[in-house]
Order: sequence, then C-alpha cells, then structure tokens
Amino acid sequence: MRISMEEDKASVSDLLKRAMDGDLEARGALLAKYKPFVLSAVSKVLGRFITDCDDEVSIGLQAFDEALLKFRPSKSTSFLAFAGLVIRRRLVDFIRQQKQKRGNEISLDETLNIEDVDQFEAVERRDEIERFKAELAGFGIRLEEVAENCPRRLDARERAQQAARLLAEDDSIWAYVQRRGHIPISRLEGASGLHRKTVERHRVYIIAIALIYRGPYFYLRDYLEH
Amino acid sequence: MVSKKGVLMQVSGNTGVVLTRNGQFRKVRLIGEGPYEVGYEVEYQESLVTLSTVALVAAACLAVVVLSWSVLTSFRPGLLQGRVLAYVSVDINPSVQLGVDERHIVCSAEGLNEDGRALLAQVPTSGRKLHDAVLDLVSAAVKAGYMSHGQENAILIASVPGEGDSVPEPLLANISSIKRDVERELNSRSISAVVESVSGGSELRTKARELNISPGRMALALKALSEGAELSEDQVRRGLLGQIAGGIERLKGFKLGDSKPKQIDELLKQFEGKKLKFQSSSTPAAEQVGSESSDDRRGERENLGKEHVETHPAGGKPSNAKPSETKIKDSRASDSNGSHSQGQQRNDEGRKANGRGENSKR
Repeated sequence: MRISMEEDKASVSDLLKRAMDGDLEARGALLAKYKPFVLSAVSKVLGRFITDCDDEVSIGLQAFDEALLKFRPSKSTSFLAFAGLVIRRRLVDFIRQQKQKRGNEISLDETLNIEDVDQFEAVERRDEIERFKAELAGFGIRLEEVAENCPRRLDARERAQQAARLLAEDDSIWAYVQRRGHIPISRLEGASGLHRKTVERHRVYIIAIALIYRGPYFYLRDYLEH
Repeated sequence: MVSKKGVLMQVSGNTGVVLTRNGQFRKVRLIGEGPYEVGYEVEYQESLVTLSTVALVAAACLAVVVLSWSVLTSFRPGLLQGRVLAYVSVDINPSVQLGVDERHIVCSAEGLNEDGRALLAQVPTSGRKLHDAVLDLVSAAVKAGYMSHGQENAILIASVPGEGDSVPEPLLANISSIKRDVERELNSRSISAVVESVSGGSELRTKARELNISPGRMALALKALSEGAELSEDQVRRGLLGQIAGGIERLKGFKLGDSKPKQIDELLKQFEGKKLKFQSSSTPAAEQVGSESSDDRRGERENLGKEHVETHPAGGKPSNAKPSETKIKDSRASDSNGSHSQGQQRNDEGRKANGRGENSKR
C-alpha cells in the first residue's frame, strides 16, 4: 500500500505520457504501481474483500489498462479518477453479464465526459475523507486540530511533509506510531536530520499527512501530488 | 482577498476545513454557491475572519491610529517616547548607542565617536525596531569599509538597563537573535567577524556613562583586566576590540554573553578601589574639548598613533609594561610593520569625539 511520494511526483506523469504513447514498459510500471488502487476500487464496487485469484481483479486490471489507453489529459481531470470510473463501469458490466448471461455491452463504448469523472472523483474522495477522519479520531485528533496546527510557511510545511513521508515509509516506525499514538521523535530525528522541535511542533499535522501517504487514500494522495 | 481552491474535508454552515494541493489543512470561509459537499473541490477565502462592516470600520480606525503613531514617532522621536528601557551599544568601530523602549523600538541614538555619528547620519534608527536598526547599521558599516573580507573584524553588542537593575529577559533574547542575524548577514557577504554580546547592570551603565565609553568596551576591558591584562585609557576608548581582549581569539574565549550582569557589576566594584589605568588618564581626553582646529587634530593623531602602537606590540597581546617613553620608541619601530595601522587610523578619528562628554538623554 505504500507509495513513495517523491518518486510519484517525478515519474507518474512521465510514465503516463509514455504509456499513452504505447510504451509497454511504462504501462507495466503503472499497472504495478497502481495495483493496490485497482484492488481497492474493485473491492469497493463488489462490497467485499477480494484476492488476486478473483476474476474481478483481472477485469479491474484490464479496465485500468483500458483507461491508460483512453485517457486524454486535461487540466481538470485526474487520471486516477478516470481510471477509477472506468474500472467501476467495467465491473458493473461484468456483473450484469454474469447475471443476465447475455452480451450486454452498451456501456463499453459509452464516452465518459468530464463531469462524470469529476463527480465520481468527488464521491470517492468523500468516502476517503470519512475514513480518514475516523482514522484520525483513532489518534485522538480532530480535523479542526489539524487545520489549527498546519504549518503556514511553505518551507516548514515541506519539512513536516518530509517527516510524514519518513513515518509512512518505515514500517517499524509506523508500527510504533500506531501502537503508541505518538511519534518516536528521537528515531525520526536520527533518520531525517529534522529538528526535534519541528517534529514536536507539527506533531498533529505530521500524523495526518503520514496517514494520507500510507493509508488507502488514493484520491487524496492524488490530489496532493498535482 | 484572494480566493483559493481546496478539497472540502468538513463543513458547517459556510465555514469548513479544506485540504489544498500543497498540503495545507485550513479552516476557511467558503465562497461561491452552496450547498457545499465534502469531497468536492471548493473555493475559499484566504481569511476566516468575518469582516463585517463594523469590523472593517474598526480596522480602519486602528490603522489610522497606528499610522499616525508611527508617523509621529518617526518624525519626532521624543514626542511619544516612553521611558528608555535599556541602552544597547554597538561597537564595530564606529560606536553607537541606541536607547530602546519596552517595545524594543529605538527611541534615542547617539554616536559614541566620530565614526559612530557619521554612521548614524546615514542610517535612520529612531522609531525603528532595534533588530532592523542594528542590521542596517552593520550593513552601512560594511559598505563604508569598516569591516571587510580578510580583516579581523569584531562586533560587540552590549546592553545596560535604562532604569532598574538589569536588562529584561525578552530584550536579551532579542539581542541574541540580532546577534545571530548579524552573523548571518556578515557570512552572506563572506566577511568573517567575531560577534559578541554582553549585558551589564546599572553599575556598568553609570560607570560607562561617567567615562563616556560604550558599555560594551567597558565590560570587555573589565573582563580583560580581570584576566591580568593592562590597558591604557586610549586602548579602552579606541583600541580594536580584539586588541583590548588581547587577540581576536581571546575575545571569543571571553564568552561575554554568558556572564551575568551581576558579574560585570561585581568586576566593576572589584576594580573600583584600585585605580583603573584608563581612569587615571582620563583627564587629557577631557582637555581635548574645544580643540577643534585642524592643526590640533593632526598633532593629536600623531600622538595617538604612538600611544596606540605602544599598547599593541606586534603579537597583539596586551603589553605588560606600563607606558613609558622608551616603550613608545620601541614600538614605533614595530609600527612600520604596519600590521595595525589601518585600525589606528580609524580609531584616531574617534578621539576628539570622545572627549566631548556627550550625553544621550536629550
């Protein structure tokens, strides 16, 4: 589930461009990278937990692939939302086929317009936000507190985000955070060279951002990346 | 007021919490058409403060008051001047002393030597924040060539209370941050300098004023004397800071900033009984008052040069010998080595000024 944000920022749009131009390697890389996303999208439509063996997973992966080919970049639409929507449509088609046992392909050539994608994205994001808030509450943090403790200055924020990234990417540190509900400042300090005060002052913010980085919040993450 | 966009995370009425693309969580006022739904990207206003008309009017009134206050204080520093909280002296070699009020705003400024006065004429200080004033003074001093790359530069920032026994803690904290910023400023111009700060008590204030020496030099001299150095009045008045300390390295070693104001005052008392060198020879300086003709000055400069060199043999260590004719002759030879001649020149100019007996309380 872990996705390195650094890497993402630099390479996703590049990979996407290459994949759309027919670069198979880039397509493979994106598929691998977004497999957790595809799994989560599929399981959400089905409303149950899934494993790699389920047929629906391959439908989802195919849909993602299809999205790679069909996506036309625009300023307002995110690829992730587009892909999410394609996955859902294909799965719904698949389920219908299963039920009716007849080829019903009406939606296959249906064009997806921007409003659809945007709305889909917003709805997906709303789900994520609700889960995110619940997870924050597990740390005893309210969303207002995050807003109140959010570093205003860009450089301070970037430092805090860097700390959050370290938290999210190190399994043992993250396990500690989850168990104790607070940040192991000395370990983080050692790992990042960040000042202890930076970490202490922005504790709430760092936890919130680390949750987004680490948790199943594809759309929120996607929003932050661009 | 700029409107920005973010994903709405939580909403109540027309305020909400948004997450922006650059990772800010903000509590904001939402603009644009409702209803607002969580998950959508929304526009918001920069500030959550609801600026009703009343508040706007209040803000405007406040602005007028603040504006007129700052205008008044900048043109007539004395007019609204509160009591002087503390005096902060800056010795670069132009030496200046700034009086600050409880808001750490400069409310009086005086040059403690000719160079100091010239510097103050260039740099506006009254009505400004102490921090900004000091940094500008340092910048101007660099521009004027008082400090440069490759030289042994030193800056001493000293504070003494205006009233009461000691300088309040917040001001000391401010001064140490000023000190850091001065260091940074000099670093950025790749000028190496020892920047020290020191704080004294009321005793130091009184004594420094009495002798018309900057509290910084006074404290430094006391510290040096307590470590066994012997200093002449001229050295204390006009010597380079590094030389008073007996070398630029020792100046750092003194850790003046660490000494408690009480310690400095104690030192002062300790020396009170004994006759301080620089006290005993203070009379000639006083006699300089009024001797303004250029001839006199020239004579004075020459004279000074000798004295000055006498106290600083080539190594820069304080001389253990008392001033004497022979000594002067000896060291004149070392003068031709020229190691300190630049410093001398500059220091000399301050001499006449110091004799005048300035008083900053105007």
